[in-house]
Amino acid sequence: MRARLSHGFFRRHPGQWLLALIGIAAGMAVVTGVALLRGALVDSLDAASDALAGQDSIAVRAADGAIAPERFAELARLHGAPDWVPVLRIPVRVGGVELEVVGLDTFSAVRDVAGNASLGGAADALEWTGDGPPPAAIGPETAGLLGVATDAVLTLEGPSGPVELRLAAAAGTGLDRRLVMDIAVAQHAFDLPDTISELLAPGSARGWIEQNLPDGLQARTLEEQRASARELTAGLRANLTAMSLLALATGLFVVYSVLSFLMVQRRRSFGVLRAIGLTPGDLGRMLIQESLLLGALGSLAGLVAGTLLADLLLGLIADPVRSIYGQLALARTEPALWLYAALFVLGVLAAIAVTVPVVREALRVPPGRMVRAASAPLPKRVRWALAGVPVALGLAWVAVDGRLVASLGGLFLVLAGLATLLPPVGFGLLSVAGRRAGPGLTGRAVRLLDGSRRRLAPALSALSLALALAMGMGMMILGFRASVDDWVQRLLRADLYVSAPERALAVEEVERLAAIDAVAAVSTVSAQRLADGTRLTAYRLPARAWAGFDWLAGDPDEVRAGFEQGLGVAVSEPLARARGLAPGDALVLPLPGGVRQFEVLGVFRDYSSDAGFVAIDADRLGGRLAGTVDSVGLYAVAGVGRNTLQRQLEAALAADPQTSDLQWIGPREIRDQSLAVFDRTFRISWAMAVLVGGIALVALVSALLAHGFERAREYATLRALGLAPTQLFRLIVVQTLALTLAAAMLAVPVAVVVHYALALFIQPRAFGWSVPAGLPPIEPIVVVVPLALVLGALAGLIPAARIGRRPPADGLRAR
Amino acid sequence: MMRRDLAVIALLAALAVAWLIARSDPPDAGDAPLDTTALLADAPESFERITGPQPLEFPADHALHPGYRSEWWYFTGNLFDADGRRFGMQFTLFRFGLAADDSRPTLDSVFAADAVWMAHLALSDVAERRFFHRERFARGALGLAGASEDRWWLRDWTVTRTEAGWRLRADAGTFALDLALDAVKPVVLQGNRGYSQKGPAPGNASRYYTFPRLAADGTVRVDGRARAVEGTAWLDREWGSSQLGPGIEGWDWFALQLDDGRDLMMYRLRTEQDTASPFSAGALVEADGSARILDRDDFELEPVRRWRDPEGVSWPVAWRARLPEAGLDLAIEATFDDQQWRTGVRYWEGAIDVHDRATGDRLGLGYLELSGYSADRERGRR
Repeated sequence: MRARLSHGFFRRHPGQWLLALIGIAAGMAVVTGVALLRGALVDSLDAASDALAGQDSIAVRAADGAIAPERFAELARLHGAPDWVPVLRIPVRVGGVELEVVGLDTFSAVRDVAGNASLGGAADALEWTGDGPPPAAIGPETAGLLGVATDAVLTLEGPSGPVELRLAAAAGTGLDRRLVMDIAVAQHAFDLPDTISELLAPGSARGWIEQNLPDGLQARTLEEQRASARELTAGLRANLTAMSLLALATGLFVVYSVLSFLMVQRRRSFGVLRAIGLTPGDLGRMLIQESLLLGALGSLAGLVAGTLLADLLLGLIADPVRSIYGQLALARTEPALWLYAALFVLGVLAAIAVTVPVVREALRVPPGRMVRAASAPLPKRVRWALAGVPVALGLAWVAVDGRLVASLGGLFLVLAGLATLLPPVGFGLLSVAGRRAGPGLTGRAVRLLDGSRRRLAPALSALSLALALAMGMGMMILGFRASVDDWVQRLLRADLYVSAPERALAVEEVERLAAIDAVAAVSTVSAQRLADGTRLTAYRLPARAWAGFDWLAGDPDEVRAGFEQGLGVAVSEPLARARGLAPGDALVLPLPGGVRQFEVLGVFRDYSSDAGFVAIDADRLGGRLAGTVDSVGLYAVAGVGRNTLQRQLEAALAADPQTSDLQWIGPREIRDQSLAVFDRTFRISWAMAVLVGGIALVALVSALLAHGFERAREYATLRALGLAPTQLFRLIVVQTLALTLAAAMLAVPVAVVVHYALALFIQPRAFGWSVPAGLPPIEPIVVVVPLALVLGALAGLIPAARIGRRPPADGLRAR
Repeated sequence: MMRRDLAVIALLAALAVAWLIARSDPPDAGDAPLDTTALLADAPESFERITGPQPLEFPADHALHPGYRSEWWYFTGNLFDADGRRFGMQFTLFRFGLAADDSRPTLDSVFAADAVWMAHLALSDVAERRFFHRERFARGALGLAGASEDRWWLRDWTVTRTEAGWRLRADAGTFALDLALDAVKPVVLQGNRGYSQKGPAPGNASRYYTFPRLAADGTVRVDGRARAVEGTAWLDREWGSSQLGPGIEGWDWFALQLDDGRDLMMYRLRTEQDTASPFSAGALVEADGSARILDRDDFELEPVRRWRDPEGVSWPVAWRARLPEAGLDLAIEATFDDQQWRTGVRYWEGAIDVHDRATGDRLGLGYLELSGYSADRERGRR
């Protein structure tokens, strides 16, 4: 019978039921999407390495780029040497998708390649007979990603131009965003006839490698590489998780507000049921069963939607992750059943948790009671304590604990505290507005809202928080973007920057550039990664370039003097934060010529890498770093314009065929490119903000619709008392608009709190960089508030139209 | 009404669950060993064929012969340490030529290769019944593998020519061999002056020569302990394209070194009907090094016991061999059963004992190779 009662009710109110379902599903979808995405960022296992040399395989790379073939041949013939698998890795693009071509020695690699997991039997197809373009194995996921058939001919953009390949289907796992070729064919096709990127060896060779690996080569296990991928993307993943939890919380608010409205509508029937003998236990079981079903169905829908969402989000994030972290993400997320199971349980439990307070209230309905008794409002002191304690706890947590989790947890606590304060403040605003609006219909409409105060309170605070989160995330992104813009503009002091796309520049080339008449000074930059993974950038800087640094620690003049005298190095903010470095500390660097210790002179602002890097004077270094540079900045003689400089540069380069591949770019273009990279990187954050905003708007519409239906009887009374249908229509729209406006106004200050929490605590702790605290950008408010008002008005119009059409007697008879 | 609604909901939920399960199902991958018989039976047209006898020259013919599909350098032997503990050994270098026709593009790559090399190193620890084996591959580029008159190698496994024979050095990590292998008897040219016909068509043949008795002296390392060993070994050299004729399933190859100083090689090319092909052959080498070539009718080989490997394939590990003209009726049996290669190529290669079938007296020892038995199993399943 209980099931029949539930069924009957939901049949009569399909809209509410669906809204609750959508609330759970939307929240779960975002959580599922992000959970899958997290895995996809780290778990792009290189199945090729995995299968050829084992899960515990070791990759050997050269400290300064590629491994010379002679060196490989010598290593391969050393006594006791492992069976190296030489690998060539080539970054390529197809349309907007970044991929990697992996050239493997399929012959010298163990013959199991023919049937091994990674190539799924495609190894034989990698032999190039000369018929058509060279073959490359592609997995089904990657082919799906590119939208090509697995036997198509594909043109991809290689480092030195387009290359055409014939695809061969491979059934293997982990070929995501990778095309596998025979190494000889790959070297030929991409015109890299003697390049070897790395050597793979089985884990059992660790001992030999430790003892025999010559200088200049570095060994890392796959597990170490995976760990570094985890570490690199930790900040990004933590951010995503935080945002997904915010989205889930918003979704649960929707569920709560819908359920509590449902309960109001069923209050009468609960009273009747109790009167005819249903015990509170029966009633409780019925309601819990309902929410179980609702939670289960909503979670299932959320898992499906979240899986689809994850693949969409992966499309947004894969390329920035490739260009910033050097990691290839999966072509498609790879969900595990256990993860689905865990998320499902989470969803059902969350749905039940928000139902409990609603059920408890329903059980307090005495038999035969038709109208709810207004319980006394909480005393003010209790209310302040409910708000103040979580806020204080949250702030304290952020203050004493420097970890990322503390800032996330702290933000949650602060928001939870604010959530209890929002309804009284909101109704305060409404009553002020109602008094201001005078005795007319508008004023009366607003004042009438105060009667449903308790009913509307959860919806109001849910709405405000959801809108605030969406706006706060938008503010943080825009604020951060403005900081990056300022930083780039400050940094770029030269008039032109010169580099070669495929090579480093020799010192003589720099000298030739410096000799151009219009050039007053040159700066040079060259970057490399040291054996311990530290990024080292060597500079030669003229006086003008020094103004480009924004020093966060250390005296600028002292830093410069010390730097140029070779007394020490400067570190970027993320590195300083990650290693706890401050001016005066010692930093040990494994330079190619041997391990050396430097003093940290200063810390500068930098947004170019969240791993951070060390800046060193190029003249203090020997080896490749001193001899070649990656990029040269040209500073024009005073009074000479950029155009003149550019003409002279063109003439100088044209005179020498050896420098014909040099390219130049102005600071303006670099800034535009940097911001384009920023925008690509933050597409995922925008997507999350939009998702949270979307859920907030669902919450808004559902709360207002439910409110409209709940007030049906009251409206009928007003009509019976002589209110014309048009007046009622106006009354309802004014009420929903007033509620929306109140929620939006409350959301603005909370959004500012969210913005500062993200910008000042979560960003620095996740990525290592700080953002100068300025005024929050107002664009999100300008977009979100009107949108909310429009939707609020629409949500009012539907019930208003329905109620307006019905004769008042119908509404009254419901009694 | 309620039942219908419940049914719709249950159906939707079941669909969602099925979709989620399908989405989380990882793809599976297969695995298949190489088919050696097929490798020796086919060769693209562009490879040279062996169609008749041709004089061989040494040491020039110790080096590789480009232009042919396959070639190998094959040592097997029986070794004993000071305590009389016995070890079987095998070291083989295989070269597989890649199609040499003009249609193949010339690759601009340091890895461009005209051949793939494979090396097999095995040690049979007879006392403990342990079979150690290791397979390695290398592309014929960058000097990773090769064979000249004086040196045959794959990565760090090398055979160098010495005054009296060869020096083999190969370390597989868990076991290693370092042996001087001095020729005791001169070279034997198999078949018709080294032209070994194995099928009816022109080109179903190989060039085949043997050093039937080498004195082995050196060390074997196993369980981290190096042991000084001595014994006898055998070297086979063979090359050609499309050696095997149609309908050949595999082969059983025997290299016996008898205590009376004679050495005996016999191979039975096995047809799909499990009979000996008429092109089966052998050679009997006297103690003084003089050799007599045997043809199909000079000897008879009959399996008497089979051993089933863990995958269910039966390998004939005990045989009866009869050579009436030489007065030999031999009982041949593996020193222990499991001397099976389980790598990219599946075959059985191991140390054997030779006894007089009538008296049971020990007559000598040797090596046995069984090939093409996995294919048999596949057919049985079909």
